Amino acid sequence: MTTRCRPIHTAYTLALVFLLAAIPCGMSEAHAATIAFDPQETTVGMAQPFLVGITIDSDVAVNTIRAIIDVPESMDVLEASDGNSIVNFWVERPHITNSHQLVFAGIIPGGFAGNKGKLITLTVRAKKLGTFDFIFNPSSGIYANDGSATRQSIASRPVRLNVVAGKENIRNSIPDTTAPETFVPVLAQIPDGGKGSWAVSFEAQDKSSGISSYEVAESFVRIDPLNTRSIARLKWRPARSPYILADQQLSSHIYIRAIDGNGNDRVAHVAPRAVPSWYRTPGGYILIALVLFFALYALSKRLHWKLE
Amino acid sequence: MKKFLLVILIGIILAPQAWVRGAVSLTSNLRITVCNGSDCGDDTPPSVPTNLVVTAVTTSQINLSWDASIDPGSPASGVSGYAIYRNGGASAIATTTGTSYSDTGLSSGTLYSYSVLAYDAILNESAQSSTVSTTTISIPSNAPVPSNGSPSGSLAAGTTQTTVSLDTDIAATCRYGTTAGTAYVGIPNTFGTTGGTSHSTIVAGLANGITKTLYVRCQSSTNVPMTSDYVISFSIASPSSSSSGGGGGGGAGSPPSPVNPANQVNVIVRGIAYPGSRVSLLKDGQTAATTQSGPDARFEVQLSGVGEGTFTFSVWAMDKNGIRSALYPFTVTLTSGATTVISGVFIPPTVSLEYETVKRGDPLRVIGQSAPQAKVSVIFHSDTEIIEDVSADAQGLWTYALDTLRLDYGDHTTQARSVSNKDISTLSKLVSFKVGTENVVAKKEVQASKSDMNGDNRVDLADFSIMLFWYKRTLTGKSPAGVDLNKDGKVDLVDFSIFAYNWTG
Repeated sequence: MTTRCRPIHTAYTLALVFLLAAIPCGMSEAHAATIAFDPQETTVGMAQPFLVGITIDSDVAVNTIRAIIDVPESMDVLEASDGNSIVNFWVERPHITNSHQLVFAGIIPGGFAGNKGKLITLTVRAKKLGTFDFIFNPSSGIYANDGSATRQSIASRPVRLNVVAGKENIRNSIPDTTAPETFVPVLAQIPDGGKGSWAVSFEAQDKSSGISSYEVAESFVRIDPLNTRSIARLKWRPARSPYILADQQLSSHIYIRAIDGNGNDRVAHVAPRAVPSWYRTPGGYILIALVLFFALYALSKRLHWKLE
Repeated sequence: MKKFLLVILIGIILAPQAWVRGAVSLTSNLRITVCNGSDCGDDTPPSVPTNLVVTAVTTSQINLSWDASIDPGSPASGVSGYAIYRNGGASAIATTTGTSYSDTGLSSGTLYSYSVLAYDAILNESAQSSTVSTTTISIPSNAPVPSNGSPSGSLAAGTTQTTVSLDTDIAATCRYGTTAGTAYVGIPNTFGTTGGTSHSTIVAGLANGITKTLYVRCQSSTNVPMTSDYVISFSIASPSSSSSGGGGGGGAGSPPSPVNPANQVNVIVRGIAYPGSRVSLLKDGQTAATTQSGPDARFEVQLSGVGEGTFTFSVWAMDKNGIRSALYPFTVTLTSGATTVISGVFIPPTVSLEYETVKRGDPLRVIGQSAPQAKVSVIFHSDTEIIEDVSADAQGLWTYALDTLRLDYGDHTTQARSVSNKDISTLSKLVSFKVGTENVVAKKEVQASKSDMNGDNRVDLADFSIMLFWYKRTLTGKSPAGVDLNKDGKVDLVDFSIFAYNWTG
C-alpha cells in the first residue's frame, strides 16, 4: 500500500504543509517486523554452550525471510537448529560464512503474522570475557505474503547478557530420541539450460533437535527401509535439495535419509519411474544363478559322459 | 562503576532508535558484558567462607557444605560462586554457585582434605577457608569387588526380558533389588546363577521406554558382605519406525502410512469453504489430506498419526471455476495422546476480475465464490479505500460491478472477505488491475500459473526445487524464463516471496 502526497490547493494550509513535510512521502515500507534474540538465561558461563533463540514478530503476514547476523569473532556458533521452526522450506539452510556471519533464508507458504515465531535456535559458546554485540545486518530482508513481496522494515529487540566465569549453564538433559517427521520427496525435472536434469527434491521437519543433514542413495535393488542393516549397506552420499540424480533414466530406487541434530534418522523411498529390468531384483538374480547352475550341471554331465 | 553506568546510559539512549519508522536500523541486539577488575572499580574480595563441613557418604563420595560469604565494599558486585580445593592443590577441582558440593569418584578408605574460597562477579577472590578433612568409607578387605556389570545403555525397543550379569574377584553370592542402600541381608532377589565369580540372572517384565536400575550387593563365601551398592542400569528404547512408505514422483503421491500404531485421529480441522469444493489441508507446507465440502460449504478433515510438536497447517479450497483461494494458515502445538480440534476455519472468498485493465468509466466486474448467502465485503485499495458489500447466492457465487469513475488512472488492487452468521473469513488474495484508456481482458489465474514451474498445475516442492536450483545463478539465454518472477534479471528472495504467495502444496 502506498501513501501519496496530497496536492495542496488552498493557501492557508501552509501550516499543514509544514506538518505534512514531516511525514515521509511515497513510503512503501508501511509496517515493521521485529527480530528478537531470545536467550535461555541472561547470565551465562564462559566456555560452556548456551542457547539463544531467534524469533520474529510481525503484524503483517510475511512469507519470506533472509537473515544475516554478524557474529562476534569471540563467539562460536556450535549449532543452528531448525527444530519447530515456522520456516518449512529453506532457501539457504543456516550456515556460518567466511566473514563469520550467520545466514539463513526460507519461505513460509501462507505467511506468518503474530508474535515469537521461532526461526532458529542457536547453541553458542563464548571464548572470551568482554563485551560483544550480535548485530542484525541491514541487508537482511523480510517480505510480505501479498504477491508483490513488499519489503518490511526491520526493528530489532536488544538483549543484555552477562558472561560470568564458573556459572553452570542450563543444559537440556532430555536427549532427542524422536526421528524426523515422515516426508514425501518428489521428482522434478530441473530446466538447467540443457536438456533438463532429473532431480529429487525433499524437505523434512524435525520437532526437537532440528534437521542436521540429508543423504541420498540410488539403488538397483529394492531394500526394506525398515531394515537397518539394508539401509547401512546402501551407498549414501551427502545431499542437498534438489539433488541431481546419477541415474537420469529414473530406473533406480531412490532413498533419502533425513538426519536430525541428535543423529536420529528417517528414510523415505521414491520408486523408479521406468520399470527396472526384471533381472535387477533379488528374485531375478536368484533365477539367473539357478539357470546358470543347471546349465553348468547339464554341461558337466554331458562332458562327463563324453569322457567315459 | 561510573563507566558501567555510562554504558547503561548509552544503551538507554540508543535503544529507542530501534523503533524509528522507515529506517532499517542497526542497533546492537545482543549485548554480552563482563567487567574486568581494572574496568569496574570493585576491588574488594568477598569474605572467607566459614563453617565448612565435610561428610563421607559412601566409599567414593564426600559431601561438602559451608556458610555463604558476603561481598562487602562499595561498589559490591556480589558473590558469584565458590571454588573448591582438595588436598592442598593449586587449582580448584570445581566451582559452584551454591553452598554445597558433592565430590565423587574417590577411592575408598582414603583421607581427603578440602578448603573453599568465594569469588565475586569480577573475579576478586577471598582467601581460602581453613582445611577440613575426612576419610571415605572403607570396603571391608575381604568383601567381594564387583565388575563388568551388564547390560548398560539402551536396549532395542520390544525387549521384554534380558540377562543381567556381573563378575566378582572372589567367589560370592549376589543379590539384586530396586531400592538403593539396602543391606545385603535385606535384598529380596538372588541371582539365578551365582556362587562363583560369574553371576547372571534373567530380568523380565521390561517395556518400551522404561529405565531399569538394579542395586546389587554380593557376600563372599566367608560371609563378608559388600557395604555399598553396585548399580546396573539400562533403558529400553521407544519405538520410532525409521521409514516412511510411499514415494513421490511428480504426480499425486498419497500421504505415507501413519506412525501411530493405534491409528488414532489426532488432528481434526473444521470450517467453511465453498459449496461442494475440494478442500486441501497442508501440514508444514505439504499436502496431508483432501476432502470435499458439503452443499452448505462446511468441511471436516481428519489427520491421524501426526506426531508431537509445533506444526504449521494451511487450508485452501478451489472454487467452481477452478480458481484457488488464498492459503488459510494456522500454527498448533500437538501433544501425543490428545486429539486437537481446530474449528472456525473460514476460507476467504475467491476473487477474479473480468478485465486486467479497464477503461475508466466502464464498470469493472469482480466475481468470486464464498459460502452460500454470505455477506462479501469487496475492498478496493486506492487513495481512499472503497468497501462495498454484496450478498452471495445459494451457490455462494457473488459479483460486484465497480463504477471506475471512482478511481484514478493507474494501478490498484482489490481484495474481499466474507461474513457468514458470526464467522469472519480471512482476506482473499490480492488481485491487481489498472484503470486506463481501454479494456484488456484478464487472463485466467496468470500469477498463480507463473509460479507453477513444471506445469503440473500445482505450486509445490517440485517447483520450489526448480527455483532453488537457479537461486544466485547467473541467468543466461538458456535459463528457463519462468524462474525470474519479477523480471529483474535474477532469482532472489523477492521471487521466492511471490512464489510462496501462490503455494498450493
